Amino acid sequence: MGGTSQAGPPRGPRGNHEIVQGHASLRVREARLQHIIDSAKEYAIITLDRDGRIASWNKGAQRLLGYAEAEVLDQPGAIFFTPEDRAAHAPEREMARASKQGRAANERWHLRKDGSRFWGSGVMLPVADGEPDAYLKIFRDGTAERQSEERQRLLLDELNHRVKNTLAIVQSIAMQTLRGAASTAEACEALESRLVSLAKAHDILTAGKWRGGDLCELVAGALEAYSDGAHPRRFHVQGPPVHLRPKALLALSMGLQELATNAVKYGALSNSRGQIEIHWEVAPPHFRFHWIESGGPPVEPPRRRGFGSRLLEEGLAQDIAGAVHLQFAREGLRCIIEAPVAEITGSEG
Amino acid sequence: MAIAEADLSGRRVLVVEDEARIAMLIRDTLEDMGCEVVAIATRFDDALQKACSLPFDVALLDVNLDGEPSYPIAAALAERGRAFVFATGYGASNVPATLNKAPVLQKPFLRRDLERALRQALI
Repeated sequence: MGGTSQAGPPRGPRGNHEIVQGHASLRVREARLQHIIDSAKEYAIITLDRDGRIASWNKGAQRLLGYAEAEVLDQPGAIFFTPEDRAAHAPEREMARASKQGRAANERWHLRKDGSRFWGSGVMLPVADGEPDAYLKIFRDGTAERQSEERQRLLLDELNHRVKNTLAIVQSIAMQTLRGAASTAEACEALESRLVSLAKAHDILTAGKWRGGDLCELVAGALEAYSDGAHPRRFHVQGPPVHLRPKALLALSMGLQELATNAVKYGALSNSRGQIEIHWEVAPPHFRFHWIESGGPPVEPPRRRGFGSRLLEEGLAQDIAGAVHLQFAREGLRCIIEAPVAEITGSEG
Repeated sequence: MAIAEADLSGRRVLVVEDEARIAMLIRDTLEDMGCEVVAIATRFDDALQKACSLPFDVALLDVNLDGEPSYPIAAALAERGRAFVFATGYGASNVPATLNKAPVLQKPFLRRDLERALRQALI
């Protein structure tokens, strides 16, 4: 290390020259910094004086908020806060928090010049040590992330609601199946069949992304398990395509399952000759669906109304805001389901 | 306990529940408890109309009616000074602050939870 006096710079004119040079390089640095700040187009970089008035405003701020720097210099920083936040003194509180804690989160809705809103995501920092004499605010448009978080929260809420609701349906099916059963074996069989039917209905809903599905497919799916190769002509199905909304789809699926189970135990599917004719019409504003059994053992009207009948006449009818008629004709059970078209399709037309 | 049990017998209940199978169980449970179910409403408009016109002592309100919140119906009931209980699969925290004095039943619920909530609402 050179410790000689020769190495030290002489004072005098040369020093002044350095100061001038220093000023020049400071200006260059400042210009360069401004350039960096302005090229950060994604970020609004704003300085506020100690009273919260706007002292500088970069290109990113102009792009994000719509005001040019000249329009907002010396204006209160609160101009791009929402009226609710202004009323709650959020601008002042943000500055106070930044002074006290060294930084404050800037996570809030902001207002553009045209009055539209975006989610500003960033921070506010105090400038200078001790008592701050200015504040730096840096934020970007976080609306997309904000909305995606919001969507996720809503989805979780909705999922929770559906799970709880489904458990309540299972509870209802279990309680009423057990209550109406003559034996444990009968209860087990009926409960299992109803739970599987509920699960199947959910499969159809999931396959259609919970937007509903077509009645023809629903009927075909419900009968599939009963269409054995030995009796291919048991079912006669006819009807136009009808798009069902999720609720109607679920309700009709459970209703068909109930009818099919009954047919297997007592009706047209309990022997080898029985047949079931299924047809439906859409004559706006009415929808009518027929399930007509024939060829099974002679039908006796039930001595008491079971849960199966109630599920159809009360449950299904309520779910589709319509009516369900069960006719225990001697030649076979008939079920007629009527509902407003708008109710089952979800469309107004 | 016996006195509290007796409180519910003969009470008229309006049931607002969009899921028919759940409504059926609620009806059976209420009837077992000695209550009279004056009506079951499954749709928002129908429920609001029944809430404003039918005679009843207490209403059981499903919070979500086919995607539509039933809070306006609760507000109408509160306005008329009618007792009501919320039933929901969502948390109790979602109930607006102006209505949160009403008991909230979490679905699925037990018979004794239903009894307790109805009694609480009827006090």
